[in-house]
Amino acid sequence: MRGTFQRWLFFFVAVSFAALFLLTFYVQTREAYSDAEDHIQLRLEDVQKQIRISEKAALAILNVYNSSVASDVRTVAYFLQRCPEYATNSFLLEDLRKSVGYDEIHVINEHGVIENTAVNPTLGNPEKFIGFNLRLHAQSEPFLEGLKQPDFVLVQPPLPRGLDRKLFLYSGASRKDAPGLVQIGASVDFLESSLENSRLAQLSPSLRVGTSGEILICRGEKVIGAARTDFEGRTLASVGFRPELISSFVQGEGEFDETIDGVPVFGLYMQSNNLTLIGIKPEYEITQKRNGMVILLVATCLILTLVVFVSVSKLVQKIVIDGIDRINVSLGKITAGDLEEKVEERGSREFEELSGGINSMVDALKGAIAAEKTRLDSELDFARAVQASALPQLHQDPRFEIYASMEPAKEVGGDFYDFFHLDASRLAFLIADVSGKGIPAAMFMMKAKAQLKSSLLANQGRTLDQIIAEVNDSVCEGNDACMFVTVFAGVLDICTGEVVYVNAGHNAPVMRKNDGSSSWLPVDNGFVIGGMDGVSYERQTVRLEKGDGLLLYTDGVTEAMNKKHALYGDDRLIALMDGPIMRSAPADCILDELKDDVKTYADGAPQSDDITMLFLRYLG
Amino acid sequence: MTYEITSPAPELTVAVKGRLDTLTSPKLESELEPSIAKARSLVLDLAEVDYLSSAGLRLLLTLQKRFKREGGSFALRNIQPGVMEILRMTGFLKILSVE
Repeated sequence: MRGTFQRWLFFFVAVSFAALFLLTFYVQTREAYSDAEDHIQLRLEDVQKQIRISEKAALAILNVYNSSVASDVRTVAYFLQRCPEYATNSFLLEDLRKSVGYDEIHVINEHGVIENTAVNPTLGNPEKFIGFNLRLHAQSEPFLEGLKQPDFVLVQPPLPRGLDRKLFLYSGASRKDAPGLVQIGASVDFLESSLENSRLAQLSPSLRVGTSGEILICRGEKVIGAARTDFEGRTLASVGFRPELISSFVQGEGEFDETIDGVPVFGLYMQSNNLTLIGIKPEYEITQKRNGMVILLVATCLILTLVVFVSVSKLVQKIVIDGIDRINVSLGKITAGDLEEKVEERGSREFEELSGGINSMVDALKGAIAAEKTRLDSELDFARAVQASALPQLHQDPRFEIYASMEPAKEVGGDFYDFFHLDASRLAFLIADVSGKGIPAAMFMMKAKAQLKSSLLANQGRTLDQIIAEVNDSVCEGNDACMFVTVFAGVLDICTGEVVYVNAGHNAPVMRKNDGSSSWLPVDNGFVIGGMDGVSYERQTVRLEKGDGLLLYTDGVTEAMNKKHALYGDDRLIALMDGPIMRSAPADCILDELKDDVKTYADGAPQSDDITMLFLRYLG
Repeated sequence: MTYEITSPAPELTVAVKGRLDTLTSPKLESELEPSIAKARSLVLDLAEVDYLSSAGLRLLLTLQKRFKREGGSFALRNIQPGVMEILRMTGFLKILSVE
């Protein structure tokens, strides 16, 4: 029971532990990612704010630049009014361009077509601009407004120019010398890049997220700013982002998982103006804290689980199992036969009830047994009376004396003796010992005894050995239980003292001569009766002189045991029979002497077998 | 009483140790039953049997009858003097085989 309980307890504790572990792991993981998301988000917003601040600063710079460009274009328009030859002469115009320091100056007629132009030779060929119609390009179209307004001035934001999509800042004003426009243009790549550089230089220190994470600032698919300088200038694909992820970056905000340089990372992205901001953080950094928490939890839970397991186990042992063990000990005594045992387990109400229940059950059982025993006793008393009534009675005869006794170990015995006259001059006497004890032995005994007597009485013309063989065959019939009986049977010729006898597996009788000496009667050891049919027996003869006696007995005498389990033995029997007291004592006294000696030897040890004896003395 | 099967069926040999009496003989008989059912011959080694009651004799008789009926052989070996005396006195030696 303890093992079963411990197994189940272990199972439940282990399941709870596993559930707790999984729950904690799940919650901590979610918490860690949520923290990481917040962290990256915060950093992205910081960077976004800084970019905005930088952009504002750049815009301010651009405004200053724009206003100076506006005054420059107006100055060029006034100059052309004063010196119209510059408007028509390309060399003069080139001189003017160089001196004002712009990359392009275009003189446009009232139809919006470039008439004269001066171009920085490193940035373009002037001839390509001559005849360029402003109406034909979206970038240059807004300037056509100046053909109608005399005070028109326009500074465009940097845009790809209509001719070759180079990023240019154009500014235009109405001509004062003639209808038309004058336009100046500057390549602003330098401006943009220098603005951006200064912006990123400011941002770089703040592009870290945690210890190993970072923020990538991208224009399109190109990384223009990152904490890791080796990322700068590379495309997102070459850094390690998968194409479908890159295409989703342009669609606003979101989160993603990716593996960069073999390290799994978690990230967020967002759009800020025309930039994409990507924040990434390695997963090992995210899960670091969670793992610490989980290890701490596992250790704590293991200790707690152990404590719970041991204490609950001990508690159950103390409260339940010990009680059950004690009850089992008592039950063991009760089943072993000790009905006086009381179960006294009072540890709890349930145990008290159980103890009470067992005690009353045992009491009821005792009552039932006592009632049954009384019934059985009366039946056995009856059986004993039946057995006793079968004991032989003889008239006194001066030529011999015979006396026998039987003390069954139980109420009814398996031993028997018998003696009866076959005719006026012949006396049959026998002693027998049935295998086994109790009722079956007693029943078998009655059968064997009746068979022996009837066969001996109806013996006319047959010898004793033949009669015994015949008894054996009839006892064997239907003897499925394999019971058998040892028999010593003799027939005394009262006139001559001659005894004819047959021994069927029985102890040899003691012959007590009239001179006081005792010896074993020589016997042939024939097979027991009832064991196997068809067995033959040997007939023997001995002549008794006047005063000679024969002691027949069963092994209940020689195998009587003392408290040390030592047997009474043949030698002690012969020694007793040798004693002088046996010489002239009557047969009943001899048997009483023998019974007393056996009792003395047993010294209170219980009698385990029937004690039966028969003494025959020939008086002549 | 304890016993040990020193040779399995069909040539069954069983070494018995202790007393063969009213309590132990039926036990030995029922425990050996499965082996005996498969045995063609049985030898009981009684080297360590020091007492044989009438129940023990009855067991020997049952086994003897059974093997005789089924055409097998049953024998005893290593019989101690005390047990031998009982077998001699009861005439069992006349019907049992002793190796």
